Amino acid sequence: MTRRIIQGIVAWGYISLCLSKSFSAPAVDELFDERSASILVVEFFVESEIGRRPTSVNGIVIDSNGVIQLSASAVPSWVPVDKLKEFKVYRLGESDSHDATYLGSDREHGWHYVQAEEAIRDKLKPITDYPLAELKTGQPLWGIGVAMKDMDFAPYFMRAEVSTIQKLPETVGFTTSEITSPGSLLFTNEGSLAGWGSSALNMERYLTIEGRRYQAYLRKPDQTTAFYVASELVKSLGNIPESPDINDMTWLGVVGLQTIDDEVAELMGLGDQAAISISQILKGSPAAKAGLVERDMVLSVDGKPLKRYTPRRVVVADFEQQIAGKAIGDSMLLGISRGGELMEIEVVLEQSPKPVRQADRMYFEKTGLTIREFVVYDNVSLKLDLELDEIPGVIVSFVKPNSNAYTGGSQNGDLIKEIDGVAIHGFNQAVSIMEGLESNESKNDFVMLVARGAETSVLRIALD
Amino acid sequence: MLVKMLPPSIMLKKGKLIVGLGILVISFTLGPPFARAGGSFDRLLEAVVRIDVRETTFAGGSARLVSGVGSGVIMSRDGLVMTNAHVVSPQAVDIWVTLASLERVRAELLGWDHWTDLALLRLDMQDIEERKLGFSVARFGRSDSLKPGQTVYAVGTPHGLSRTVTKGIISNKERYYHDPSGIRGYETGFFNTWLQTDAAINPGNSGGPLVDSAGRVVGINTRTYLGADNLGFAIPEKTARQVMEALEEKGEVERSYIGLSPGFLQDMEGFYSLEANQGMLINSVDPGSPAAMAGIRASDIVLSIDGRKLDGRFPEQIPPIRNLIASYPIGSTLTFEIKRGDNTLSLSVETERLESRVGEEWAFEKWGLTVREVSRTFARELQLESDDGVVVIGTQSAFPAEKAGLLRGDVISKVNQAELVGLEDLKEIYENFDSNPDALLMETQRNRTVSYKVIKP
Repeated sequence: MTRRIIQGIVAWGYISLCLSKSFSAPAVDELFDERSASILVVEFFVESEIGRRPTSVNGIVIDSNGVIQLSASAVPSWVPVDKLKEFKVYRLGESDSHDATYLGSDREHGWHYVQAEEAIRDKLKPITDYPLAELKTGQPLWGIGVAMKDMDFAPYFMRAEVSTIQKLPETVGFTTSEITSPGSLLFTNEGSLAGWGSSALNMERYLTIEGRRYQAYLRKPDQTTAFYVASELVKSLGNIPESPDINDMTWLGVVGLQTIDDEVAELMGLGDQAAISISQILKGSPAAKAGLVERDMVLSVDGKPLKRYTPRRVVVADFEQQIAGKAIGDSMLLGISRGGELMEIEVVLEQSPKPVRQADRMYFEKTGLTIREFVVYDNVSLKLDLELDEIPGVIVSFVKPNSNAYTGGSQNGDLIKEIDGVAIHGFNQAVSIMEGLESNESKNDFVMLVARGAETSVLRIALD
Repeated sequence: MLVKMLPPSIMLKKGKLIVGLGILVISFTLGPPFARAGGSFDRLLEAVVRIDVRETTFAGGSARLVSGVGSGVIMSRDGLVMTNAHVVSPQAVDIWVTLASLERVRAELLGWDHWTDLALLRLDMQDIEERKLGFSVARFGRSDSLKPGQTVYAVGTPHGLSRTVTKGIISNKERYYHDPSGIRGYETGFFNTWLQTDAAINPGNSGGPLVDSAGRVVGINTRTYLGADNLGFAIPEKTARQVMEALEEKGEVERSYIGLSPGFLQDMEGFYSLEANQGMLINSVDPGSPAAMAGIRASDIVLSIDGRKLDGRFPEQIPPIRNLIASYPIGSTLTFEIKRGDNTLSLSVETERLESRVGEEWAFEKWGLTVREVSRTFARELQLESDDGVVVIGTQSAFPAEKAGLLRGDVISKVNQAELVGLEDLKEIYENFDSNPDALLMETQRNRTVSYKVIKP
């Protein structure tokens, strides 16, 4: 019986899939062709020490200068900007590529920007040309799916209805079935802009293989039911940084933020107030300077109580976005509960310490090892509790397989504390020691003291 | 695909087992050239026992019983039985020993030592006398005088098949192997090397003797590489004999701790400009340990301890050095001669008592919560700020702890805003909760992130 029901569900799922994919003649064929000119496919390589990984994502044209906006996850956040190579764009349905330039990412939402070469800009249609839709539950929408490269990224028609709209804290809509490709667009029947496709949700499914049932989470890479609602999206469009590698992130210096759930808030006498607890305050951070302490509960920002979101964890995301939305030097008035006592603390936000992406790196060919500058992020992830300016060594960010470093036992993420008996307190110092070792013909090997978790070990690395 | 492949492989295993038994039976009945010494070997067989254990486990959010089968060997007239620590632990509630006569008697645990994976039992001698049961006693041989290639026999209860004898040779006398959480989370193998044999050792052989052809016990069979062919390991008699004495006398083996993790100097003597065959490299020093307080640092070279020169170039040489340090009485002051760069230093280290990373475990049945005391070692391993608190090892679904969102691995550091020092505090809170149920606020830490959870009646 159960099996029959499951089979029924599977069959139903299959039919709905066929429907959403069907290329039925759109009543909106003219709109479809025009709107497809607002979507481009962006291709680039992520370069590593020993290879290149191609990436291809959909983006949308946001102005008449050929600026294309990509989702936050389109570019891995830890990859240094100079390792992103050969940006190219394709118009949907065309096989010729055009050059493009990476412009950087928006600090508040993490969206990435790419600019298409001048020659094709007049063929692109910015999304700001379209009227914005007011969405209602049940409203019919259509979207533009983007086919794979061997189909020349051909646009195809998709259709569904608004299922629900949520604040997470961005305003996100969901449709009854797949409506667009991630990074592509969807519209109302009249042609108003409804939204921008985000990545698909994980769908819980049960797979039955030869009578055995498995639980699986499935996600389509090329189609989605989730989208950013356009009327909210356009308010924060095009915050293009001054340069691709600029660090304009603001920083409070708190770690391990957790939403307090309703029962806990009640027990702590916070009533039905939304609250966030702070697990850790980094030494020397703006939060530490302002006198915040670990276990403080944040109740309000600039006099406004934190909003209660469902699910509750969104409260933290909203708070983090409020910090990111401020400029360096701005102050933030935090309403705090400390052991039941209420107080207000003003924090002056500072420029964020260097992100991992911007840390200096150097690859040593003979050793087969890349070392990276130690950054505050490492202080947190290695649980070191150091002062802000304390540098305990350098980090191993790449070990070439079967190289001398690999055979000697080096691992990605190791903290190198000493090289050849010399304590390391800076990146440049480590580089000059490594360069000296690699160019010293009479040297056959050297030792490194590395920390890994709570333990250290001495590694011998050959130099031949 | 997977489902199809499994049955034939199981069949194959069974097939092998049956073939093996067949050969064994033939060799006993026909009795052609037989290296083992008849009488004394038969006495050994009469001393090997099957051990059935029921013990408490706290893994799943409540105290539950699990049962297991292992082997053992009777080592004295007054009923001392050697077995493995992973066969009988202090959490055992029932220990039944099946003698060679197939009679079953109860036994009690005198002590265990997970570091060497050994446990010592005493048979219920009163019962044995009343029922006039007989058994024979095994004798120790000398593991030091074993030679690679020498014939040995393993006797035990593989997969519940009582008194199975398998034959092989000593493959290696000094295998180095340690596991920081090998025996249900407890450390093992730091203080001894292992005998390696190709005599077939399977699950259930654990705790049985490895014997020479005269039936003398040269090791206690302990582990095998599952999936490999005939790579079995036994604790050498030399270690077993010492541990047995300590367990009989005190119920435990006391060891000294100073907090050093040695490395192997292999190939690095040149770098440290050392004399041949001298020195032990320090890989790591536990923060706050006696060695750290004495000023010993990672990458130092220990030349000697209390005047005894050390040679720690190869992995096999490390356990005896660890054992040397451990065997000093707790609280001893040791003089370390240390080479650091071009300097030679002399540092004094006062030893502490060695403790396991595994703390006491307990079940709070009404909460559906099982916890373990946070030990010093565990706190250091997880880089916790202190060794206060208890760590969640299990929750039972639909019970208050699980509903509150407690997860395995959470460290409970406060209850109702008051610091939780250890298990005793929580037991007290539980008792009060039992008589006066009221919502409890628990502060937990996981990877330095603090969360709050509410336990409701």
